[in-house]
Amino acid sequence: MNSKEKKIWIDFTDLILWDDHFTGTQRVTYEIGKRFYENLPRVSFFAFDDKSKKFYEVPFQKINERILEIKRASETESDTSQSKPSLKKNLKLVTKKVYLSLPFEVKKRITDDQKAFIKKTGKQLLSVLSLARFSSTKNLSKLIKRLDQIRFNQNDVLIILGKPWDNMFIIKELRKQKLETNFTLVHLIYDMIPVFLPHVFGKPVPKNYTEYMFEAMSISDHLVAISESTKKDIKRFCDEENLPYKPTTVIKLGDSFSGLETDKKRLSELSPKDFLLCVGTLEIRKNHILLYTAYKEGLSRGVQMPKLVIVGGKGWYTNDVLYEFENDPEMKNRVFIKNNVSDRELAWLYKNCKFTVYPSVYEGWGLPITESLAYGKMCLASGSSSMKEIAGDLIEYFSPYDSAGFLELIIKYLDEDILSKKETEIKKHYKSTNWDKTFQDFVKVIKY
Amino acid sequence: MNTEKKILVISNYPILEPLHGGQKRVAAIVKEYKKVFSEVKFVAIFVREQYPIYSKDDIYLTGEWAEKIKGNYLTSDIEIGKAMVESPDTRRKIEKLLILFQPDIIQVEQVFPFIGLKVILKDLKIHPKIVYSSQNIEAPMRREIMEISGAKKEDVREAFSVINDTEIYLAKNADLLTVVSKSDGDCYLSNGAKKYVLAMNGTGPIISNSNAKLYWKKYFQQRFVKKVALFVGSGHVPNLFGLTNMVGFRVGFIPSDSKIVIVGSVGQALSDHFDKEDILNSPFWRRVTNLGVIKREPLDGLLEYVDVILLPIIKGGGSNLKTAEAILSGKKIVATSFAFRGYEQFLKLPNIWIADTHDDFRKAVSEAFNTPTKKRTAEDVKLANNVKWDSSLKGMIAEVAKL
Repeated sequence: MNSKEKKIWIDFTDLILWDDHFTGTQRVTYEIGKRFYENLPRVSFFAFDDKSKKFYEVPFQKINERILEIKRASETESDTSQSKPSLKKNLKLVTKKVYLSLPFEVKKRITDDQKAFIKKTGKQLLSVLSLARFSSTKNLSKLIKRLDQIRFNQNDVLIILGKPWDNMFIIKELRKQKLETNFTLVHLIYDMIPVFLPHVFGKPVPKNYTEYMFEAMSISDHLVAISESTKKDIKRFCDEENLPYKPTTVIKLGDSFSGLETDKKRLSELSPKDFLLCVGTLEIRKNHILLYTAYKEGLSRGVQMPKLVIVGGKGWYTNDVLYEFENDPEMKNRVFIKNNVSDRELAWLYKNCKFTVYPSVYEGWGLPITESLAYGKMCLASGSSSMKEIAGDLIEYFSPYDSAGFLELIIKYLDEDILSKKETEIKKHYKSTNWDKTFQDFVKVIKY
Repeated sequence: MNTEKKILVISNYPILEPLHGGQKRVAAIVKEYKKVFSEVKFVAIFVREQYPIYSKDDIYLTGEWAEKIKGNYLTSDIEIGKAMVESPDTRRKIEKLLILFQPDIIQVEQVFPFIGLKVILKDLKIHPKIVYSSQNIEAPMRREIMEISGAKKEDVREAFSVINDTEIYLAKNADLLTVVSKSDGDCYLSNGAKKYVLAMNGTGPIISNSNAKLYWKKYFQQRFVKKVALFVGSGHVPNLFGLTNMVGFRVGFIPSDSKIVIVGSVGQALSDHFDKEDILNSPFWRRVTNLGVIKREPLDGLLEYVDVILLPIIKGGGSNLKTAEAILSGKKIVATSFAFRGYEQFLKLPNIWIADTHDDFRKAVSEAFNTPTKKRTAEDVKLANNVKWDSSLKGMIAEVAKL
């Protein structure tokens, strides 16, 4: 092949290192990457190895088999990471065992301050161990042997679809090669939330994310935002950091995922139409506290609040609200927190909920809203950031800081007539975006 | 020109190994005087904790005065002036020097040594000619620095008053007043001076150091940095304000293949003076590298290597030695017009961008990075050479010799 010919390189680092549940970012990378491979000539895939700080070519077939396997597992099995005892759990168990084995006289002498110290030390140990585990899984060369090392050429177009922001080495290496060969870099940006809402993330994230975006935007030739809101935030970031604002195109991501079979075996406590559904990681940004407050207010007013199913793994700073949900007697048998559902179980939940709720403070897009609509379900969503772009007037919105307004909307849609009318409207008017359309839009960006 | 006169130069810092601008200026003056006067003596009255390198003729404070002044960077120079009279040991050494040397001319560098000298000369009843070598209009600047540093109001008032009174006294009564810029001179005229001589700050020749230049070439190549803009500054508050106001913390305008490199204690001062979060939460350090304090040799190499020199000076008195160095270097310069006060004649040289607002300054930095350096003509080189000490001090030396 003529090396001067235009060649498309798609970053599969996220995919090749992923051995967990198949989630949003991996799905986006895979669905778009696969279509590039199937529809265009001279498309290759690469991954970055942290250890050697080099890029390697990844044969699509090889990775595709593995992805399909993970995808199948995601559809039918619960989250594998949840079934294994976590590092944190193990550490807690060991500490507890050691404590229990101590003679009573010794236990008596341990002060609260000393207990706090042990807890703090444990946390520090946990973070060190987690980092060590993270680094070892990030070693690409251990996973894929005999890959070809690559250097990009001037006519190459590189597309980054994943979220490599937790690895500054990749952007450093890209910058270095870009300075040498000046290839074209197209970067998909999901959101700028850690930059503008640093308080909803753990300490290292905002700084790392900001630095990554700073470099990524400096060296990218074209940016693709997943919403107008993200595009606006990119512009804001560039203005604030005095960065040159690169051409930015908004491309809607595919959201056609309503064809899955359903599975209810492990959801015996639920019946069709007797629960509300909230999907999204349990993290401070997703604003579950508003849900708790609205529910409590509803109950205090004597409203027959339906069951509430919260689906999502545990994320940043949610211990307090989780504690409230799990220990509030009024919430017992009313709120179910599910952090290990399979895609098929999720499909059952979507199909059978009354409606969905999404009180998130800020989003780059708002996938659970799209999913809800794809299943023909009404969604009460926070009206901030990108969320109004998804369905416009088709659904209703509330302020993410207004629990009373949120409760009023919940009460409104507990009325079957109003809900059913809305569902008919959604089924009639909501148009899903298919991945082929997303792919075609990408092709336009790279002017292939 | 040669004269049999004996001249004594006094300052409150030694010049054996000059580091900061003031030291460099005095060292240059002494060097140039030695070419003209039959006997030249220099003495520093100082504290050793602040200047550990000194020569045997220098007089350091001892005992309680040394203790008192040691950690006081805001008014130590005023205290040294007072100690010249009030510390018996110091006074005895100064008197001995004056009696033995019998200078025809005493040049006081800045006002501070004169605070004590005035009393001693009166008591000894000796009347040498006095040259007041001003580096700036000190009183208002010191007041501002002390206020920013949170000094007590009464201390600020007292320091201002002592410096201001001495500056005005010297402007009116010195046999010769020398200044570093026309604007300083005009200020003294309005305070009662009859005339002044301009003795612009200059620079020594830049000594080419190919090893040091090569070192920096490799250093930046390894970091994939193609273009470098240099800011050299001490931790002096005006330097810090200049950098933060004109360059700022949002440095995305610097291309990803370029860096601003900070040399001198201003980098440390940046971390000390500002909320660390302000800097940490912005990607400031991705485009800015702090090299800290580096020695003369590597600095010469760096000056030779870099593409652009930044002079973001917006406050302070006098004139800036860094400007002289930048002018002589022939590099592209991005500066405020304030940084060029006293050097206005050099603005006609090529490769100079003047910008006085934050927006203009960063635009000028981007433009300088992207513009090739224009070669200087023979006329340009001749003009730039006027910034060397032997040229810049020529007028002053001639006037002093006439005294």
